[in-house]
Amino acid sequence: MLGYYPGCTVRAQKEDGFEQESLAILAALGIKAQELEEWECCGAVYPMAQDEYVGLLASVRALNQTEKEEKDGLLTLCSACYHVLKRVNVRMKNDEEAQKRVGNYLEMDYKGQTEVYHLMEVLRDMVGMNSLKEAVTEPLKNEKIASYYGCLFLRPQKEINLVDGENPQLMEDIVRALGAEPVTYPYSTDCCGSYHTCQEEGVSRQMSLKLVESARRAGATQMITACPLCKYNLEKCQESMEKEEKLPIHYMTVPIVKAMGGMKTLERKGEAHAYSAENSSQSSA
Amino acid sequence: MRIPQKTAASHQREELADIIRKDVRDCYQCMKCSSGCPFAEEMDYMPHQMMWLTNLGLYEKILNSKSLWICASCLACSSRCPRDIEPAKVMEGFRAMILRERGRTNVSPVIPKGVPRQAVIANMRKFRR
Ligand code: SF4
Ligand code: SF4
Repeated sequence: MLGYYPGCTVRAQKEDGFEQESLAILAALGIKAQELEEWECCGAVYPMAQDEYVGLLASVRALNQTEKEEKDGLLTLCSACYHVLKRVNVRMKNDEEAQKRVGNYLEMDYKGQTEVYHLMEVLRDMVGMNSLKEAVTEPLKNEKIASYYGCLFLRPQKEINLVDGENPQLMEDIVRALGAEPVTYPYSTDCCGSYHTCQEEGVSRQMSLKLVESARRAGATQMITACPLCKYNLEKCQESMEKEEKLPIHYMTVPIVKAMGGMKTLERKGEAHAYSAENSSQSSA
Repeated sequence: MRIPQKTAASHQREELADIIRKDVRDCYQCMKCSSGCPFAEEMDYMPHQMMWLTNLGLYEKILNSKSLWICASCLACSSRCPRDIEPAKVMEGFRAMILRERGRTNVSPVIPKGVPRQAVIANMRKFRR
């Protein structure tokens, strides 16, 4: 059983369905995740200043809570939560000063034991691409999907260590497993303009537009991402276009759900898994 | 005629070193950081120039630059620097120096309707203390 950390953005935008879809996909594939009893906002940016420890506290609490609840790791969906939790964990593993200071303050002994996972990582490492492929009932034959990673899943590579930072292929592999065609375009690892949307909006619009145009030129019928802010920026930059000119931007869960037969099917499969797990634990007891 | 410029005091250099724990003097001005920076066009000093100014001790220019606030910490520069300088972290160091002294910047964020919370929070962390 994984611990689950929703994060404030995904939770606040519940109606987007990212959370519901992700958990349904995992449940249908036999992966259980349970929300942590207590969690708070991770802070949204990793504190790069080496002499500051306050920014680490919220994440360390969640990481420690995961251990306390005896979960097998901490699952998160939002790019920023994943980035922050994972880097804080690496810091806690390697920085004795941080262990001491944070430990004293929170009165706990945490040294980076918890593993942090993202949905796509769970699909790769716990489910496997072959099992995902087997679970596909309605292959997306006519879709050409451009995967967009953005910064937070990629850099710094030696801390995040999820995919190859310059040529990631994980989302493309997932797209292939769904029976769709992955689109290659040059900007899948570039920045979308990030929170410039709250500062100099023109800057982020220009950058997002560059990404969308490039995906479109490469023949994409849709773009997928796992980052709420990237999704916002990529949609916002197309605001003034005609409806049929817009390239649809989806969370990566949308095509997965579709290929696996829709939410109803997923929920049924999830219940079946839960039922068989319950029975087997009863018979062994 | 050349007008001599004020360079950083030793306590300022120490403050920066404390925050970033990096030796910027290792930079050999290869410009890999700037050529990969997606925001370079918008900046008054590009990342490699910021590193050069740091080494020259011309902190005033850096602290008053637009670049500090244009940088979105995308870490493209840091991941490509052959000398492991982490320009993104150096810039964060200067931002931290400003925020620690003044509590806030004179950049005023706007919060458009419907923007994800992560952007709002990230903004608060970048511009306020
Ligand atoms: S990439 Fe590194 S070494 Fe090259 S100019 Fe930039 S900071 Fe200096
Ligand atoms: S972190 Fe800042 S300076 Fe470095 S590449 Fe990104 S925007 Fe440019």
